[in-house]
Amino acid sequence: MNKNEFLKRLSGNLSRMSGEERDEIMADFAEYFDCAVKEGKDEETVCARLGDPKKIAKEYYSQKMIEEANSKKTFKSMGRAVAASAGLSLSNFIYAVCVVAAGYIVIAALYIAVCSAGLAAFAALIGSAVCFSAYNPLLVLLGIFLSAALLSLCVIGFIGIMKLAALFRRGNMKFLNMTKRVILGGSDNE
Amino acid sequence: MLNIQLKKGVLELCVLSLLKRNDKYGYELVAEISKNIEISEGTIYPLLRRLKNEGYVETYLEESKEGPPRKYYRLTEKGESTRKVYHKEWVEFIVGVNSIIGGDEYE
Repeated sequence: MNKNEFLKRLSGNLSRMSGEERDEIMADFAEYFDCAVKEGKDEETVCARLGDPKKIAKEYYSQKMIEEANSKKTFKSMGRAVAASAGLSLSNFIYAVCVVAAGYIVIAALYIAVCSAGLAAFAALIGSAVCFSAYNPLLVLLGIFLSAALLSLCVIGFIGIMKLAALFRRGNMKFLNMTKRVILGGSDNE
Repeated sequence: MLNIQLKKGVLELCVLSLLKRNDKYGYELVAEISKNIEISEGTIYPLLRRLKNEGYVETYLEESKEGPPRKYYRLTEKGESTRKVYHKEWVEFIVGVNSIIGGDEYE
């Protein structure tokens, strides 16, 4: 591989970066080649020492995703950050997917449970009110009271789950940052 | 070969330490590091970009005698305080690891 081939491959793999970012990266590597060639190194050797352009591009991309996830903290950018950082190593991948997937499943299950309980309580509330005229008013009043109580419990539960989900997202960010810098300072600046 | 993630973490400390001595351009930095540590030289550039985005280093262009201007990297105050923390952690880590694995073989 020579300089042009290397830069072409790098640029081709940086398609997901913004044009400005890509230009800057390309300029950095072009400068590197110029300096190395001036020192009498041939382009082939320089390419070999730089390593696989695809891997370098992946590194940039995973970094960008982590930065985005750090600033936005949404489920979508979280997922992309997990995928990008996992792309760096297989063991990280399996671990990240297991941890994150398990967390999402638990949160989703809780979410569904509370939502359906809420819906059921709401239906019971309406049902009780509708039956008010036809049946024993005292029993129906009890029904209304119980379903209203259940409904408010569900609302509290729902808020709790949202809090839990936010906490989990933050935890994920810590985990991702940790895999990025295993020993040095992973948790210091987050 | 040592775990790649481990190396990457140490690399950050190396870059910050080299920049503490004086401002350097990309090639200089890479050459200085690869003289001492076996790495894929291309991985330093993504690291430099991250250090810049996090505000640990800043860049400026300076004319060179031969050819186009070069991009120089300079350690910021934030970078210096981070470097101190990393350095301390690194020393503690090394001492800890050495006391577990024992250093006799290489003495």
